[in-house]
Amino acid sequence: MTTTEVSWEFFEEEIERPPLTPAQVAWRRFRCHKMALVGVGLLIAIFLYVIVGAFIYSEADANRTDLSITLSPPSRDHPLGTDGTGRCILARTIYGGQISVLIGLSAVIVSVTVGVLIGAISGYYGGHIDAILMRFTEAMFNIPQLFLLILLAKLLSGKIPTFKLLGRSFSGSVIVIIGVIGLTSWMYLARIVRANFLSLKEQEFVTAARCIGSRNFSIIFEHILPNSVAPIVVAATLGVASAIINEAYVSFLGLGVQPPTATWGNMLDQAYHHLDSEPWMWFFPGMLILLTVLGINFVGDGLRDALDPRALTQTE
Amino acid sequence: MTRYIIRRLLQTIPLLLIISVILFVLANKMGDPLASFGGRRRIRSDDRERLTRKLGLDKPILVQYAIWLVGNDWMRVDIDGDGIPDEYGTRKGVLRGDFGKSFMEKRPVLEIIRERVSNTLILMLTCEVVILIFSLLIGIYSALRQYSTLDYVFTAFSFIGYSMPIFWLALILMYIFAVNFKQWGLPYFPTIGMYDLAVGRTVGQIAWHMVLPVATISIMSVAGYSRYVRSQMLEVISQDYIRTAYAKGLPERMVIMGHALKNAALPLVTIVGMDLPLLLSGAVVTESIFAWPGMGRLFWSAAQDTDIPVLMGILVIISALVVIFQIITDITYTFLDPRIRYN
Amino acid sequence: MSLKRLAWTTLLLATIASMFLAACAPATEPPGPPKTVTMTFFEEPDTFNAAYSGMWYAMLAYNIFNPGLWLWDNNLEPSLEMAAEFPTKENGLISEDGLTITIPLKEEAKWSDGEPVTAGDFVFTYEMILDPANTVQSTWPYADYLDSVTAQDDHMLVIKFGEPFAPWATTLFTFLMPEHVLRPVFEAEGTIDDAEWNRAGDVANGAFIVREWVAASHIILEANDNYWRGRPTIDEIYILIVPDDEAQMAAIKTGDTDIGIFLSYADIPTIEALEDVDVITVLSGYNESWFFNLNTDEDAAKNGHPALQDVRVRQAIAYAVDFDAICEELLFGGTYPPGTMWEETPYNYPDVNLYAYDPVMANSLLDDAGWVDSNDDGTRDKDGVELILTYSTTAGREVREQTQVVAQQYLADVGIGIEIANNSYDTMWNSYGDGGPIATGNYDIAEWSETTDFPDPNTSIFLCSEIPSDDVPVGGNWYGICDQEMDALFQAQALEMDPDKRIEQFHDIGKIMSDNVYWLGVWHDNDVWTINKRTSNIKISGGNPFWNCFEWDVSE
Repeated sequence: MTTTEVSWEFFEEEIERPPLTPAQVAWRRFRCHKMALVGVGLLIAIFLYVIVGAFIYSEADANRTDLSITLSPPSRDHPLGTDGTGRCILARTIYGGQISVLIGLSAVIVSVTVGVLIGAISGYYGGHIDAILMRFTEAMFNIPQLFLLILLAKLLSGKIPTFKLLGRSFSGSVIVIIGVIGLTSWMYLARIVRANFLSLKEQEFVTAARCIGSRNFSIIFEHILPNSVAPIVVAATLGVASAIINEAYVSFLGLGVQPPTATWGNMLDQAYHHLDSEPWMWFFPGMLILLTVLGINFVGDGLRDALDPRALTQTE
Repeated sequence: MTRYIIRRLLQTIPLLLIISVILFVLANKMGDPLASFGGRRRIRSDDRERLTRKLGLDKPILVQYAIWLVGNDWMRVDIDGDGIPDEYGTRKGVLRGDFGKSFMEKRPVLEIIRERVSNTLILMLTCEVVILIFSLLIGIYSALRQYSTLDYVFTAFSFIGYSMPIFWLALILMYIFAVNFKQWGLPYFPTIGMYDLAVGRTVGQIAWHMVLPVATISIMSVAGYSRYVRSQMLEVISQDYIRTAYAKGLPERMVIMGHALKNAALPLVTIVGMDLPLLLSGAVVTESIFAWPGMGRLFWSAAQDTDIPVLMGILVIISALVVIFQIITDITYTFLDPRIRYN
Repeated sequence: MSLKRLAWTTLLLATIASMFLAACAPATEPPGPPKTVTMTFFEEPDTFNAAYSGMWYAMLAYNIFNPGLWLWDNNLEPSLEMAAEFPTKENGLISEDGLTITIPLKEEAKWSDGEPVTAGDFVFTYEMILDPANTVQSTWPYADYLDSVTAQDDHMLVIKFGEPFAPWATTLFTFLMPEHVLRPVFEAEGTIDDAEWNRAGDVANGAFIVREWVAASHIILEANDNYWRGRPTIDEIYILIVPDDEAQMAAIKTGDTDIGIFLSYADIPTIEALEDVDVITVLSGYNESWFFNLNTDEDAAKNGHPALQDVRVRQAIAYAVDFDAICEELLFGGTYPPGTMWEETPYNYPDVNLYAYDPVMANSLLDDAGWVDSNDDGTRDKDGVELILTYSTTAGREVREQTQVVAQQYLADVGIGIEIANNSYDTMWNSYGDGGPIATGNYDIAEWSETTDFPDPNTSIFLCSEIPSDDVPVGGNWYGICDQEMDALFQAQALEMDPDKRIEQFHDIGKIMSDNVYWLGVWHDNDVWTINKRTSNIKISGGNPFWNCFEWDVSE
């Protein structure tokens, strides 16, 4: 009942005020989506955890082994316990979280880039280019993702050496995992973008842009793409969640990020043998994955509702 | 319609060829099949040379692909390694239904896959049924009693289920319902295999052994699908014809079953068809953990051993299945929804 | 009417006949439910024809139904199967020059279908292994060392060598093919690659016969009445294929399996807490090892870190890492660091330097060698080269990765930097020709579990001639170790037929390897087994684990 009242107020407000831009409407809708706000809250908490935590614990703390305190339960020194080599789980979840989130975000950047490029080119140019690209997309789409992940992860493992970035050294396997996850998850996006382009490129504003002599490049990226941002944002948000889960899968199958770098996924994998004897080893990284993915899914759900074009036309 | 089907089927041929080339190159580059031959010991030098030649791995990759595709019974093959071709090859190639022999098991790939397919299908079809029933029930309930406590509970659970790595779920289920239940003296589920050998392969045994793996796979999918059904249902019950149905005095049950459900469930058909690959992926991990002798596990062990013929066999068959499933879903859809026409 | 009578008569006759048959049935027929031992295999055997397999689990399986001349018992002594006598120089079955071995076969040995096991079966097996039409796993050592295998008579086998070959007893005829089954297949198809017997195992000469093999699920073996020792004590062996170690643990806990195989040391504390399960460790010849890249090739990419060329640096590494603590904490005290590759065997050099943990010694050795931290960045350096080593093992194995990070810490404490770069286990051991990361020298320290021709001590991986190059693309000496003295000893031992002399030679080899730190043992990698206490008389051997399956028993 309360919800009905809220939505009524919402509409009354809207009637009194001047028309809103689509972005404002989206934001209002998003604001009213309770779960999305919970999601945002969760994500902020996680971000604080992995960033503020890094000021308390150094990366060396996360990787320092101590054979005298292996597998010790949570204590004052190590609030979340230690793992099989005596490393502090709390410090590892902080730095592991950074890597997991980094992998999630970067993999999505890879998949969005590839997906948007292929979808846009395919949808805009049509014809043979479209046919070839879409056959390829379809081919990749038809192979179950986990199967592709396994093939690619095995193909690329150990091919990239350790590198330094911002004073931290990263295992090359981080790049491999990002690439592998990114390159196996762009197909869905490519299809959405292509469908969007197919319908948008026939509209007047595109014809107008063409008439005033805009180049194809500028039409694609300055005129059409901004109009298909909504589905891309939703897909990308949910993509982060599945990339984080995929990282855990790849780690579980033994093809993940190499030691000593922690990720939530490989922490879970290392806890595999300690399921009932040392529950703190899996509980915390598992909960962090769960909460992060949950938060992202909530936000994605909220975004989907907020950016729904049908909903937009109704309010306009 | 027939022309549409024929055209779609013809389109799948180049598609499958592209898929197979991509996969063949990937599979061949990803590891060394001979490395696993040695088992716990490293393979010896001259055996490696001999086996590389006998398995045809010494040839350029495209030649290997050609042989995989069309066979080598029309060309002479060097058997003893003196560089002079001796006899005609024996392989017929995939196009003539010969998927080659497994490097590891040394027997025809199709034979190996045939043994596994039925096991995976038993598991997957049960999962599909469970998923459909539960996601429809939960989805409809959540839609009709929107914002009720149970709706929130279902929503929360479905998001949690959706956000968990499947292997984690599998392990937790296994430890609660098998290991801990036994410790607590409760009836416990079996952890591994398809049936108890002492009892034999009976329906009851398979069903009993299937509970945990089916639960693992289903929980994740039910989470996603029930959300979908819920939103579909919400959309449908706000439509005019439903209001009309209520208005003319039909009882709620009739309205829901007769009008709303049918329309809300339709899109689920497509989704279920499209999600076949997802289920198969879930099977890789689930089958490995629960020691279920299906295709997913076969794939994972073949990937570990770089058993290229088996890998290719599974991938090509699955790709073909996926393509065909898509066509079937599209066609089913036209029957279910008369507004859609293909021409 | 008459029809009815006929039916009655038939029935009566059938009843009498069946009673008669039942009375005549062998007295060994089990009275109650069948006695069954269940075990879990982590990997499924690839084939039942041993010639086609190099897989350890396949060996476990075919030892049960298809033993060769003898199996190695839990004291690593030969337990005779098809052979009637173990050949030695003393009993005259090995010729003076060591080039001819005569092996008398058991006259009572039969295949399960009643055919006798003859020397002809061995000759046939030899021919099949050598025939290029058969894609067998390995022709070694048959193609390399044997001149001929002949049948002097049905029960007298004669093996002739081109040159003396020391490890013959562990490598020759560890299995046997039934000629009467496979010869017709070979003649019809030109190869036995596709013979049904390869997967059926239904004609057996061991204590059990394969009754059923359901792929990826299980194998059932049943007692062989025609076994030369007589019917085994138990009636059935169930082999469950369980590809997940956690699932195997669960099965051990619930008692779903009697024998758990190849467990990790990390599981030992959990299993020891179980009342009805025994844990045993068995010498298997494996040692978790560190290898150093000592290549000095023209192609610098193949060479390891220059510091490793200095024996003092290698010794410092050995002193710097507390391998005892690793064994104690990471492997839960289930094992210890081995002195040589031949730990726990007579070939082990007992007075070897064990390099007990001594960081002070490590630091002073590194200082002596000229590696000091001149730029204060925490790692030692010399002539502008930082002492950072690439440490590689197989990705995804927990205890190895734990060892890596712990060793990284220990070495950091003495100023040696470690970069971890692991490989997936199937590409790790690729040959030089296939660009294998270790074979092409893409490492400084590499770790894996290595063995010899166990129980025979022979190995070729330290021979100068095995250093891989473009000319020797499949060479197995990936460490570039070419120590003339050690090389000569390795070559000599392979030809030495006197066991005592060979032991001496291996003691010398062990001393050289240890003093020069060509090889470093991380932990002695014995196999860990669990045995449920409802079974009895299971004596696992490190050579052929199930050698005494004929006398296993269970109590209900």
